[in-house]
Amino acid sequence: MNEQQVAETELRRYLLGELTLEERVLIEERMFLDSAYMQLARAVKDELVDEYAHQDLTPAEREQFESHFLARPEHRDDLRIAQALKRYLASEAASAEASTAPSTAAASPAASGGNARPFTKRVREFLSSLFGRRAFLGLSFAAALIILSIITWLAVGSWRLQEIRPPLQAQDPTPEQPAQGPQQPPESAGATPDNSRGPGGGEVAGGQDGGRPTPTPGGRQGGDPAGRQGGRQQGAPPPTGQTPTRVVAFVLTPGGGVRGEGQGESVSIAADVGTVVLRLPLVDEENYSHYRATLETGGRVTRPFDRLTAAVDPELGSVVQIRVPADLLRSQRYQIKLTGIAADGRTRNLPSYTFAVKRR
Amino acid sequence: MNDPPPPKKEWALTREAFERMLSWLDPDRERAGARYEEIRAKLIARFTRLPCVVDPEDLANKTIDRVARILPKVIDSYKGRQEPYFYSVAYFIYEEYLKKPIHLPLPETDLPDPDPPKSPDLLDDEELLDSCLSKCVQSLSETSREIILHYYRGERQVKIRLRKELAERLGIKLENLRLKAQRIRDSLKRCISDCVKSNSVT
Repeated sequence: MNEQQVAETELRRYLLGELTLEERVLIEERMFLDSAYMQLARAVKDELVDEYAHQDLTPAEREQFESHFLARPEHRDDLRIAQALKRYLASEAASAEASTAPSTAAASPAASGGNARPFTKRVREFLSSLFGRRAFLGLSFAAALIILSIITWLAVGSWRLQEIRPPLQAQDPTPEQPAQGPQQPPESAGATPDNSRGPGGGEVAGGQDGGRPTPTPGGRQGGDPAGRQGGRQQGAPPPTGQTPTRVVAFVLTPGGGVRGEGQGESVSIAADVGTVVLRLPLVDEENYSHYRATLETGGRVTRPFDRLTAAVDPELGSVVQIRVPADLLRSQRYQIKLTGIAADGRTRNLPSYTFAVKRR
Repeated sequence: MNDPPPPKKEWALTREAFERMLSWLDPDRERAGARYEEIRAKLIARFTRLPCVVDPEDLANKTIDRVARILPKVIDSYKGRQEPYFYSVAYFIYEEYLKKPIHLPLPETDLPDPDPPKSPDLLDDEELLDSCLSKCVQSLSETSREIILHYYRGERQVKIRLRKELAERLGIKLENLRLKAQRIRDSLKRCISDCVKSNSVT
């Protein structure tokens, strides 16, 4: 059993109340100090709840689940949500089966789930009807048809991409990015709100696996720190099914107003955008050692940003820049509160920046 | 440690409770003081790095207060090292903190102001829960929605197969997909909770 499996088994026992007090304390200590472990614990908890909802637990486990795990109100909420999700997925699967024609069942094997077998059976019957016992000829013919279809699809897709590529509307993040101190690791598509302040946060690294990050518990991010790669990718929608990687930038004006894609009060974010760079021109003339920003909505901090430094932009003057994963932003209003921190530790609240997000 | 007692009204750390906590850390008061300072500094540093924390020092203080308060109940039964106990309590402090709405002054008056929950089991209304879940799933990005719809679909072997296919389609490892799915589910839970609360208030 590898280390991860051991950790998962231990977490499962923890959730079912099988550990001693001292063992529980060590688990909780680790969950507090290690974000990746905390994430793993949540994943194990969700899976345990799902297993209970699907009646996959052993009788002993079910009893422990009901007597220990469900004793906490938040765990009861987790179960209700799991049961609601189960109902939702069942109704989605039923609608998908009712609305999709048989010939499209193979287009989305995950959606069709159990329809894969009937489809292959139909294909075999069709081929048999065409060629009788000469299955080899039939299969060769089918293979040729498939290859031809793929070539045609690639050609058409390539032509369509050239036709419909949208013009660049957002600002290019400039190559000369503000010097990002050690406390501000570069963002990558799919990074989550787990941590944005520095090492030890368990953030995902960037750039590998077809654009999807690899988790590095407690580690820093790799990838392009200055958004140059994001700048080259800008304007090129990712292939279907891949992670959004486009980087777009907007200039916010203190008090409200946006320059960039979607002028006026709103930031318009397309589905293929992975990272949103928000550029905050500074109106305060004092130079601070560094800055702190919080992205807030509805009175709640969505994400803090620490150890930001200002850079000089020829057009905007002094600018502080924050990089926000696009999937963190919903169609609602946000506010960025900026604080200047002087070398002697004095802090000053600076004008804030308000904007609305429109997802498209 | 069993679940810490639920937070009651502000409990003030008395001198007696503080001294008891110090002597639990170490019989020698000077060494106890040094250990206390070290623990407090580490709590602040860790809370500072956790997302959504506005005042890490306040959470560190709350952790220490709670340890001091419950120490009489556990001092005889808990035989482990002292430091992990503080961090164990800190974990619960943080989890409770995440559930609480933060009220900050904002210039706009049209933003919804989250109200505290009126009842402990807000998710009892199945119809409301289903409606909120549906809305929240629709509000996810395309990729996130695809993950939610396919990662949790099916049972047993079908589920395993669908997850492998999904990971291949997204071009990521299965363990990464699992973490991604868990994060999306967390954000769904928050969305559902907010939706249910706002609909319950009205």
